Amino acid sequence: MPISGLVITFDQTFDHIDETLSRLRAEPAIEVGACDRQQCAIVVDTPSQADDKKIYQWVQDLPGVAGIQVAFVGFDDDATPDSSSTTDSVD
Amino acid sequence: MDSKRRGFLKSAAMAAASSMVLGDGEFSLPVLGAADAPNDGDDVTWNKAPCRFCGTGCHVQVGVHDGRVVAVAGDKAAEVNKGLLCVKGYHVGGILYGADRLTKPLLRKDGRLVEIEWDEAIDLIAKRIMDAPEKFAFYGSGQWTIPEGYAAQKLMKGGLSNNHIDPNARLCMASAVTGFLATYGVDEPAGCYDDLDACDVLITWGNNPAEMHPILFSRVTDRRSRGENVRIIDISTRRTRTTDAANDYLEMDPHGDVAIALGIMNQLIASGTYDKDFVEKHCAFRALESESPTLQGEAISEDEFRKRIAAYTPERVEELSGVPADKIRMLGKLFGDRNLRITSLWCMGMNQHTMGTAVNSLVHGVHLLSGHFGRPGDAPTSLTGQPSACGTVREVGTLAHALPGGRVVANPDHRGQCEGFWNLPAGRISPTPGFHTVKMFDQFTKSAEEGGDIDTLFVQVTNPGQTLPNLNKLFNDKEILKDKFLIVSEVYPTATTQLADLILPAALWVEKNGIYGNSERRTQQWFKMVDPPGEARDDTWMTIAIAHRLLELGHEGMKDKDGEFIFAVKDDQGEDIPIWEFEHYYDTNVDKHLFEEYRQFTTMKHKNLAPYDEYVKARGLRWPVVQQDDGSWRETRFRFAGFDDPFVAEGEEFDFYHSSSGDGRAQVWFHDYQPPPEVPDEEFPMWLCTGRVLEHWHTGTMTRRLPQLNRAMPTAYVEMNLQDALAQNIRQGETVVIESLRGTTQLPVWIDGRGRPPRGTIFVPFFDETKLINNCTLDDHDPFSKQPDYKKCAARVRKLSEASS
Repeated sequence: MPISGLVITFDQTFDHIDETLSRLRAEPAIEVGACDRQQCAIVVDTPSQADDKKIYQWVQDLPGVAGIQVAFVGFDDDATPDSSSTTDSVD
Repeated sequence: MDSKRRGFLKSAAMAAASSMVLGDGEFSLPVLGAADAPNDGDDVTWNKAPCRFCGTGCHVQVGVHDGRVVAVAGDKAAEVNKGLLCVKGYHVGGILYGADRLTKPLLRKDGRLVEIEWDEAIDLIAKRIMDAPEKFAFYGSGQWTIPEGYAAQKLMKGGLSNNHIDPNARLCMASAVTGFLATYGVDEPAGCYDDLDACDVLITWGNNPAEMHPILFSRVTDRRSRGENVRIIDISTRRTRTTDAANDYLEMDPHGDVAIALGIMNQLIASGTYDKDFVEKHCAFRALESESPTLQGEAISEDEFRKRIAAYTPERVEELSGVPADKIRMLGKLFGDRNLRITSLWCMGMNQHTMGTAVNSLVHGVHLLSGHFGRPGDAPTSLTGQPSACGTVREVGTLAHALPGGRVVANPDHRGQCEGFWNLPAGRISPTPGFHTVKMFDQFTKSAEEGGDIDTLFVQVTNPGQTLPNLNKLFNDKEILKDKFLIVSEVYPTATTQLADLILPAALWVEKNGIYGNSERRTQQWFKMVDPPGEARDDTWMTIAIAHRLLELGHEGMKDKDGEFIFAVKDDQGEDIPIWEFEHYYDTNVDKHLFEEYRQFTTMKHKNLAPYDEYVKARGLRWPVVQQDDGSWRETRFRFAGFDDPFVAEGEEFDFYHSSSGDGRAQVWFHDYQPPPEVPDEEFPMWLCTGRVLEHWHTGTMTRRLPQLNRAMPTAYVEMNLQDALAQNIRQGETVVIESLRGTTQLPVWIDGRGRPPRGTIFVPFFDETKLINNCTLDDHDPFSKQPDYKKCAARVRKLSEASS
């Protein structure tokens, strides 16, 4: 159940930031916060890591988005191990 | 997650993101006061801690609910990162919660690991040490907290009279230490991160801060985004993300940095643009002795220096380094311009180098000779890869030859001072340096019959089974040596625990109190915030518990000269607090006791520290920290510079007060270029370079357990040049075999990927324990620092089908 605070940086040569902001506001998983002509704060709240990744990619691909910085991560979910090391303990 | 906490976390996320957008106009990273830190909510409490990963020393705010870390935010009150974190830092809280945390001591019996009680584990270790204290070695880490390293140091050198203690930082920044010592007579950078905010030119020497120290690099790129003109010059053996941001990319051959530094000095002398006034007042010249060279070398005249440096013309440097002569002239001109402020940054590229001491000294020499030193923005600055390589290794002195506070075991006065601080009988500390890392593991993985005289090795907070060079020689042989006993304190199963005889589950990061020292001399404190899982315990406690068991077994070294336990802590009534029993360990703040004891050692080399409680209030303080007339404590940004360093006499512009020539001067070194010990040939035609990636930290034991980071970078790879791949009919993503004279590993190919190596060069990151590139690397090392060269050796790439046939 990830919650991320992100900062979007806009391409300064892009003239249609308002349209991009409208698309962000229309996305239910996104809450739009403080914005100026250069940057915009958003919070992404999704039910799963996979959805979080999809939204992140969707934002990155929006017109005029030059970059995304992560400002906050809430991670109150269980991480899964990905290591191959094993410790074959027995009782 | 309940809706109340979810709502709170959303508010905190929005506050953090909005504060970055609404930061003040002067600096577009947020610069906010401590009052703007996240406030405690109904169910989440926040506290400060330095990030667990690299040597930058960013501070995070850690949100805890119900005994569990649930959120992390950049700390807006921290000068280092000003509220920002890198992708690893934002996920740092998750490192505590991998599903395979080690929670019980495990003893290998008949090849299988069996759970045992802590008491049995401590007893077993103490008895092995008691049987043969001289055959015991302690291998530590630049991730040790300062109290952890200090306790290990005291146990070994003060208790056991045994100097076989060395840290993984030997593999990471030992050449930076010897470079500073050779040049200034004292270790660690004179400048600080403020130089990044003031430089006109940033030169990255074999360094990729865009990925390895992204927050520091962002301080420079952020200035550019505000319209400031900062020229970045990237000198490297391959194109990286740092190259992408650079104005100039100078592609050098491996080992070319030595020649380039010599070439810049040649140009400064030849054109007469060196800073004559600075050199005359503050510098002396030095070179290695022709016979039996030492770290201190011998004095040479300026004329002799001029004669030797004259050989390194731009054309000769081009031959040695591959960098065109006109680019060497360009660098010479830049350094000859005193109107510019120039900062050099380096890390592993110059340190993991068989001429590491030499190239570190030479780059310092370039800055000294040109006078680009000591003004904000004019600095030769080495970075560290670990969070307390400076604090715990370089300052506490957890190296085989060192003692706390810049002392060395070979110096009788230094030994006497330490015995005094520790209240030990005279002669307790051995004058003979112990084994450095490569030698330590060589002795451990050699049978007793072959002279392998280390039989018990205790590893804390590091993973040598993945990070040592030439693993087949220095680690893997342990498996067949039944008389060797490997003890590993760890948080997760690793490549090292796979061969361990005894595994001790350790507390991690905010599961314990801690103090780190970062790359800019900043000492940083934090408190325990959550309990470790199961029976995981603090590393400092393990060391003290072993010492106390040795005391019970009758080891005289565990007593001071008054008969007291060397780690004794008394309560207000003068009674011992039994901190060796874990249930009583947190009856007092052991970190504070150890730190206050350690603090006495720090004044000899003018690395003065403030009392523990000052660090509780601060987001770290840069030493020397000295008390002012009003009782407050003042940190130092620029050492040796009269305008800031309290130990430079009033009216003096500079004073190198630990000068090895004893006259307040820094040493400008001359070193002749020497070729690398191994170069590609017909059989092994490629240069192999190893390193790190943005998403993973070191061996990946923590970051590979964070799904977000592991998904972003799931596997190690070999970067290849397209033309090299075409020549061998190798496709993108194809698994190939990398081979050297020492070993092999298999990796998927990434052609012209994130990094772009030139023809004849491959690059492999070392974070992936399933693809151990250190099977292939070289254990040849610098003669002074003993640091191995992970950045260049000869290798070949073979298609899987060819290798298996």
